[in-house]
Amino acid sequence: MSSIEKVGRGQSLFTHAFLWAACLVALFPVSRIITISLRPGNRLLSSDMSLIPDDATLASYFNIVTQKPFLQWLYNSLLITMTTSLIGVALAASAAYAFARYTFPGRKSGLLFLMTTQMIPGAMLLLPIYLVLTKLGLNNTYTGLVVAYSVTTLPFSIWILKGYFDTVPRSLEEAARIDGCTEFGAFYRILLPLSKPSLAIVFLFNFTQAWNEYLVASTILQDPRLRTWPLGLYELQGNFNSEWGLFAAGSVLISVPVVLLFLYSSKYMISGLTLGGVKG
Amino acid sequence: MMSLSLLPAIAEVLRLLLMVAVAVSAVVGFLWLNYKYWRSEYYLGVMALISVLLCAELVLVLEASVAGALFIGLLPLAAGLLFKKVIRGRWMIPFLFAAPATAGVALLFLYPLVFEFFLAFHKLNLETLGDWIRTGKIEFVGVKNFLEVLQTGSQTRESFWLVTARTFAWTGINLVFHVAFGLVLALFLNQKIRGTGIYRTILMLPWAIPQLIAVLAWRGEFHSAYGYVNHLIQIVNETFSFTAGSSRIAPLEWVGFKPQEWWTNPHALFASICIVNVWLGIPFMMVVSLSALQSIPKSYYEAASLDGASAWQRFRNITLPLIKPVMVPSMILGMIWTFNNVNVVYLMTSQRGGSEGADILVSDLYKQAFVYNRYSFSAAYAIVIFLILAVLTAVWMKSSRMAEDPARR
Repeated sequence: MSSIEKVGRGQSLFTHAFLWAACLVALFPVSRIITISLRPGNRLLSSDMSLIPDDATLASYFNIVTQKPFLQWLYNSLLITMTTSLIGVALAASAAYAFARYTFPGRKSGLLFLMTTQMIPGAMLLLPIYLVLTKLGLNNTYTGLVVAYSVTTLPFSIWILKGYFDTVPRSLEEAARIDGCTEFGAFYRILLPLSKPSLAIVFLFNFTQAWNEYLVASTILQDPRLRTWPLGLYELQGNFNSEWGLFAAGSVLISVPVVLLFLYSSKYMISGLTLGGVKG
Repeated sequence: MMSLSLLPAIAEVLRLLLMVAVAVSAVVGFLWLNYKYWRSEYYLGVMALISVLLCAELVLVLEASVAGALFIGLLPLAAGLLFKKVIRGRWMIPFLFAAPATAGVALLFLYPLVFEFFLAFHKLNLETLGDWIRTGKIEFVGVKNFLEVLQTGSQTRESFWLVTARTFAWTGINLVFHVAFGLVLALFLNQKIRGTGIYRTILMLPWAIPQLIAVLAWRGEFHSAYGYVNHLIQIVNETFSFTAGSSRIAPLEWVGFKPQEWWTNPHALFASICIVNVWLGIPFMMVVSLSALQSIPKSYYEAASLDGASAWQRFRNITLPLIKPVMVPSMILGMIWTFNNVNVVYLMTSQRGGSEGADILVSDLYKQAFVYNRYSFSAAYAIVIFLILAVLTAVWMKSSRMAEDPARR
């Protein structure tokens, strides 16, 4: 069980076999997507099972960029996601500072409320927000979508950042205060630079959340020109017969950077999540 | 090349950022002024004047209802009283820091929640939506919506109890498989073998790929004619079947292991959604388990080995109790996520050729609200779902805390 234990040869073989099988299962849809994206257009729906088809072609990749507004989707997604993350991190960091460093009436209930928000089904809040946005005329705009995204990200960001700030020793800020720094200065010049990694993680977390989101976007954005990439790809896959290859190619193009970023940041991300989750 | 429209979007985003900045400065500035002047003898008088002016403007210029105008208009006066009598200049820094986010959360969370309760007792659907947007008036119907939620289903909706039962099955199945596979993989990865880094990276893939892409890819594989899944089932069946005389004997087919119409048969559809979601959720539990396992000091195992404990005893008496404090919160979080998972179910069921009959509570809620546009009904539905989840979580948290600390029982 422990890593100190000497692992016998037979047991080690079994372990490798098991992990190999698990990796195959994990890789399965990925390999299929790659295969389909390489197929020429005239036999997208074949039951051919080879990993790289004999007549492999990059036509689908070329077509999705030239024939579909793929770049526009990416641009829309990028803009919405960046805005959400920026607002989220800025507001969350200052609130997390108050929660981590000061006692004030409403602190405990505030933290409890932040926890509770994780339990509220997204679909539950989406309806009133959708109706209010409709009433305000913000339906079908970037603004509406950013507002809707901030709902889910803000409490969670505060919660995670508070967990991080708790681990930064107070004495540094106290020293700065003695040297004549203001409270805001201590926050801005001492704590924030020290928490750069955690801010980056929260930014990334917000970013991936908003970047990959489909359902809320499909409710709020109806204008095809405003579509984010999940809406676009969903549309392609909906037209199953003709555009399966385009869907696959688009998926590969989008997944590669996302997966790399995720794998690179996962170590920090996980420690951030567990830290925020375990500490009360 | 498609033409891109870039500039209007930038302008809109900049306007939004500016709006947020203005709102933040307004909130912080308002608080700061209060902290600065609350001692002044004119303070309450000025606040009262602001209240009166605000009320007057709301009623006369913006033509709001009197009750609404009073509610909003009296806020400055209430704030003034609060500052003068209760706060008295204390807690300035934390309040200033927390104010923008609090205002945001109140606007984006509390207001919708209150509005949802309001909706649940009124009648708002596609027919009355136009009236409501123009005049703001909707009809009060009492608990009718709640009764309708609990009653048996109609053509566009399955029975509430059936969907609830399916949701519990869904949550249970997913959680058990996530934790079991996640823990086993973590135990394997925690051994001293070659290549754990590579294995770990590959096994994280289901978490790393954008969910929409993974789910849609899986959905394609469940296509009855062209998907890999049926093809694979066929291959396995052929391997295990044999011919006796003139008849073909395939033992696996007898127990139901055969190609399915995954998209149209509700039972198969539900099974396929479970498979996809189990696949998606294992990496999270694996990573959590792994980090918990790695935090256990090795000396515990050495001591236990010296005392002659078997591998199972070491797992049962050292590993399990020590990973529990990390695992239980993650499992509760995992349960809530699974219970609330609209995305996977919606993406798997809602396309052409997909049948319903595999919906869980939240995906049904989403469809009632945005496919059938039953706004008030969905608001009541949402409240019922939230209550179920709240009770479930509270019970589990309480029981797990008791198990952790028997003395408190």
